[in-house]
Amino acid sequence: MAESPLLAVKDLEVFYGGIQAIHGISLEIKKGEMVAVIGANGAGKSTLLNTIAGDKSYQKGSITFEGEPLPGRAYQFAEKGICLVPEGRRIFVNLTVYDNLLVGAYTVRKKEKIKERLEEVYDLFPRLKEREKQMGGTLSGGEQQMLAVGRAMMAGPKLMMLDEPSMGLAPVIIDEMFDKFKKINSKYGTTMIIVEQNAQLALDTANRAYVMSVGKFIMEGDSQELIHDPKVQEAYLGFK
Amino acid sequence: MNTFLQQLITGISIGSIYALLAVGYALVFSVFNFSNFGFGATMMFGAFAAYYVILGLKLPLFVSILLGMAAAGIVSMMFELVIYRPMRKKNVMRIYLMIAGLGINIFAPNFMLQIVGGAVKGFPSDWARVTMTVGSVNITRSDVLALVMSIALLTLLWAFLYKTRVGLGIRASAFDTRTAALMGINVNVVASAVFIFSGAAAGVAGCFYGMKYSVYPAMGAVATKGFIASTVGGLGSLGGAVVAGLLLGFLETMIASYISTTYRDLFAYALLVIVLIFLPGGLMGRQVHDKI
Repeated sequence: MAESPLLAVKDLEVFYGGIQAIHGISLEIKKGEMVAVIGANGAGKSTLLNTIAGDKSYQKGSITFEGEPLPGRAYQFAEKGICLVPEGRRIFVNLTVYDNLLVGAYTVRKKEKIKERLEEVYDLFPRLKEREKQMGGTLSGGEQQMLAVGRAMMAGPKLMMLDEPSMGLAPVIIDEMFDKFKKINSKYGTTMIIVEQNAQLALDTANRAYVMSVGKFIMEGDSQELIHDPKVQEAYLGFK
Repeated sequence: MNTFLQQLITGISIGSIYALLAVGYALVFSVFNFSNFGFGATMMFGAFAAYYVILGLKLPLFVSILLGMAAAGIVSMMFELVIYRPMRKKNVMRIYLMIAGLGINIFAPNFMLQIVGGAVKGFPSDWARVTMTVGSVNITRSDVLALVMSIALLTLLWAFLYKTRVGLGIRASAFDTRTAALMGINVNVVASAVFIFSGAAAGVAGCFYGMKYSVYPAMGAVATKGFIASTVGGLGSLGGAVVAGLLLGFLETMIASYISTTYRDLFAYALLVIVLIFLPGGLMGRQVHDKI
């Protein structure tokens, strides 16, 4: 008996004006899974995430979350439990670290719940507590990424989507970040989709992966199987 | 010395009117990146509302100011609902929103001219005209009231922005409305709050300007001074708007009394141009921030 998926995308097509970015994509993600989407620059990975997060409208196909169609307005997605950690992080540079986190909990009405989550975030990223009163814009790249992830955690998401989380970060920090993602996934059961250009990293972290090229999935399967697939090795892992 | 003190008080009182208007411009600009040139009209409607509440309903001055403020807040929100929101939905360039605002600013005074005529009306409050003598300086009650209410309103605005949930939403939207939406912030709610608050501030400014001078359809022209102050203070900066508003009021009054009244407006525009040349971001403007 198959458990109904948390997220189901069917025959999705997305356009920017007259240009088609996604050419009929289907995917299903179960609760608690950690899934990677890998692919080259411009493959449409970010477009896919932005569409699921409500930041971009789609023209054809369907997306259901917990068996229901997505809400109509961008601001309603967070309340449903869909959170995007956007590419480039998009920290509120004009707000303090603390206020950034509070904005993340904008849809949470219970004060105790906000306090509880704040502690969870500070527990996972002690650096953020140290910088609590600093403006978001004064943080380093790594700290901003922590803040972006912490901000998403504040909403208590069912689905957390991370768009190029390794971009512009030092290798040491990247490893640390990806460990935290695994921790969030295992500790809170948060379902995750990670979009990455760094295929090795993504495949090492996720259980399952989709390979995307020019707006389509060209392969999908178990991460470890994909890592050993000669085609993936040649095209995305740099093996010859 | 006495003349100076006298002028200082006048300067602060007119400056607080400019500050209220400038804060309105700054609030809208900080979130939506355009200047709402409909503030002149909003201010004028607020003043007329208070005027007719006193004359028609015979209500006390303070109540009439509150009602004028409420009327201006509603008018301001109507501009947002009927004109700006449909335009924002179509994602038009910000410059078109400003042009629409300029349109409001021409339409509204002419509309009032048709309805109530162009006569200049004295503000119907004897209480406000009473002058108090402190030492050798004469202070009109309306000047004191203008200052007190401006401080009260600005404090209230600060508390709203920094202590409430919607206020946090406004501050987040001020950086980036799209990311704010991802966090679950409904930008339309933010827009309504911003327009009601800035409109109410313009309405109060209108009432005090009306008390200080008079009420007439073209009085909204003075909102330009608020715009100058918000630009000099730094577009989108609330603190800058307050400081520059008070500064502009003070400097204008000094020039009018020690040099000549004819130089007053000339000075305001010269100040605008000079600040724009040497400090394009304004006195307390945001640095060009990193949008990555």
